[in-house]
Amino acid sequence: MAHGSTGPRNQLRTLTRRLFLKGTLGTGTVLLLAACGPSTSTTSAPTSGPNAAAPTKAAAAATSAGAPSTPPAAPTAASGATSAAAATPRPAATPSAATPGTVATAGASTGTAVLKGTKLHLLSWSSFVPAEDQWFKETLVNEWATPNGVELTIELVSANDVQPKVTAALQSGAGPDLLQMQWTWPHLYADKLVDVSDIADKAGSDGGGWFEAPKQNCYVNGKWLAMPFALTGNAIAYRSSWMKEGAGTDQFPTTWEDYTKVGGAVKQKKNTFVGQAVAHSFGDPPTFIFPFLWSFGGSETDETGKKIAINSPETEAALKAFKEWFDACSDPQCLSWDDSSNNRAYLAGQIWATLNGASIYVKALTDAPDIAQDTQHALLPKGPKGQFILAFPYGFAIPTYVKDPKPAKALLAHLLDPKVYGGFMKAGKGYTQAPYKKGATELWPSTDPKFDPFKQIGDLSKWYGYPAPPSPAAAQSGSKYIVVDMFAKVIQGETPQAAMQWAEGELKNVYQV
Amino acid sequence: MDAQRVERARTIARPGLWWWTPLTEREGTLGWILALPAIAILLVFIAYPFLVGIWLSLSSETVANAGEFVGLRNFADQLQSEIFRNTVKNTLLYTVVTVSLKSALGLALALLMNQQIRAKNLVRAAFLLPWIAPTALSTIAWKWLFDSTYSIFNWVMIQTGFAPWIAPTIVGHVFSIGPRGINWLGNGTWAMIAIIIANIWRGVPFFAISLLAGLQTISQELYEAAALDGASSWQRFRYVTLPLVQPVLLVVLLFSLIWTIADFQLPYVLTGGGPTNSTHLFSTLAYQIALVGGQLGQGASVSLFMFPFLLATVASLLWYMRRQEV
Repeated sequence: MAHGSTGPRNQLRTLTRRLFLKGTLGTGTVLLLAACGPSTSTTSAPTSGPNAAAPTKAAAAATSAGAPSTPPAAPTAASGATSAAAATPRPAATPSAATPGTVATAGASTGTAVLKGTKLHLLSWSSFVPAEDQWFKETLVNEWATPNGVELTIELVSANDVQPKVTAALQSGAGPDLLQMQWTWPHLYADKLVDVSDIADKAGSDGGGWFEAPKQNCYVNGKWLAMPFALTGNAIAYRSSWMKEGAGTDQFPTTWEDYTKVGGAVKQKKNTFVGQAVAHSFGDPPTFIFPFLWSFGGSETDETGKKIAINSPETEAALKAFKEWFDACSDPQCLSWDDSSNNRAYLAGQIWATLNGASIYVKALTDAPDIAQDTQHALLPKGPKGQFILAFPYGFAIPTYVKDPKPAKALLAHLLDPKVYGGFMKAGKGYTQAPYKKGATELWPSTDPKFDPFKQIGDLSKWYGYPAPPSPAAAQSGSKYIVVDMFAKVIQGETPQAAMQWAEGELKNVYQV
Repeated sequence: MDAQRVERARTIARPGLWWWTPLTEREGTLGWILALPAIAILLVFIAYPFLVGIWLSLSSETVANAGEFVGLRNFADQLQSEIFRNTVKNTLLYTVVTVSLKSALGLALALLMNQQIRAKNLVRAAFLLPWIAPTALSTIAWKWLFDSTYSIFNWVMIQTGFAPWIAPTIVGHVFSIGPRGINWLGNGTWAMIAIIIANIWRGVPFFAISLLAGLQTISQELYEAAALDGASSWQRFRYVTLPLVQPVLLVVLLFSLIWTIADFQLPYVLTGGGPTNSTHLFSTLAYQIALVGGQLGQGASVSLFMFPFLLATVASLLWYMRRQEV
């Protein structure tokens, strides 16, 4: 190797294979050490979750560019963790050693829980009413976490993104300490959830008794595997003046038959329609379709859940009535809608009625006061076999990978304390209904009579798999939208018999009967 | 003694002499050492998940339960499901149509870009944009383009009077075009067309830029010679361009087939597999079953159904390419 002057060209010439290997090895070692550095947390940082930064939801962009009312997923804001009480973004479920002699008592129902110095991480959805998110991130942290010395991280993601995160956490055995449980998920994840019966019984008793649906969703094989937290009920938001002008009536129809007549008249006269999503979206489609089916006596299975009962005269009657209603009152574009489409369409004045939570009205109060003034609410009409609701339920569960569940239980007990829950309901202005009976009476937050129909949600609401108890199979059939698609096929022109046969085949596959 | 002393001195004087130096001095050994990180990544992130996937597909594992070995029951269950059978058809249709159109349009675009035009570098960069843009974001834009209320395509059809004119005719009925335009994402056929259009828009630049690179290796003398022999433009394309660009085309086809058959982001964001499962592909159905329904074993079995298709396709293409080389 020539050694001449030490200019740059000669320095390059002296870069030998040996030097290159040394450099590579050194860099690789440094990187490896940095990656395998010590970690104090057994849980992953919220923002490093599988869907943390990817705005993959169609509804996300649809709502971000449309009416800002109640998006199920906002692409930039939803998938984020907020740690209002602490600077560190990596929470752990392991409580650090308390100062000797200082033990915070969480409450009689949890026994003595060491809270001071504990880190808790709660995963939930980003509510359709931003004030509820704010309640979690600010009120809960300031009024419970900070005084108790708890570092509480609230991670709120879009509703559709919760399940992949829950799945990842349960499969990997690491993640948030409290997981939102939507629908009948406690039945799906039963083996990986902590028994919270010690706090759930008291919470229900203090709350005046649980409603049936939240109990069915969270009570699995004699144990409470999740604490019910909310029922988000749906009612039909409608433009009363358009109904009067189109159909000549002030009273919202109370039967499906009447709704078909009234809706048809309004559609003809006012050149508008009822917006009802019949597609693969977790909220609006099943909360309309299942009550419709049940109100005609149809169901997926019998009461035992062991025999498929979808192919029946009752289901056929429901399908025929639905086809008639949809053709008269709605529009085929609804087959591509998601949970945000009807919010946008209603607030833009494109539809006159839609089934939704109170979020449309809450949004209209600030953004479209004229529409808010004209809006009324009514529960779903009755069918021959009665009136049914499928409210969207959710609760919180503690996964078994959490080493010490007591702090998490203390938080759950606090959340469902009626005095605390009343504050949450006030923040939401009536959007979320309580899972227990006091929520419909003394805790009811609104004096606005337009929210009154939602008071009946708790009593009327059923669950996936009704009339059988919830089960993993019912959850799976819900996730595959089998019943929703059965109704959609009829809209698209299939006969009720063909649609029923298809659904029966799919349900037999799911229920393995 | 002197010789030994000289040798020792030479050894001590050589800079950077370490205990592993004899290993690294050998090309064969060094090659394996340098390839180890890549092999490790492949083993950890490809081979291991693949083997776990095979195990899951043969078990009844759910999110909450380790399950047990069930043999091929998951595969048998899927074959009995009409949703799954439709998914197979959807995936094959989607793959064949998009890859065919992408290769034809990509080649056409490559031929155009191969011309001497002003600001050709800028033009080439602009054509590459659909490929560069993150798929999820561009698909969200497409979702707005196909939205039932806000679709610009429908707006044009309404404003020009085309939709109201054609809606009552037989053509309107056959093609489901209403007075307010097309129900893009609410009609099964149009939803499939929508995801095909979005996929072609996204994938054509990849074909174009790769084929452009191939076109630029073709010597101009061949074209001149062909022209001198009286070959027309089509004959020059058929007998000069196509044979020489074929190796590149086959490689690009191979990649595109693999990526398209396993496409997830586009159908998931645009349609979610709907309406009524008419745009479900293997990946979206597997996601729905495994992550939403919690049935990991069944979801894995849906994913693995892709494997024989892909293996057969890749093997055929590689065999054909090998034959061409010979």
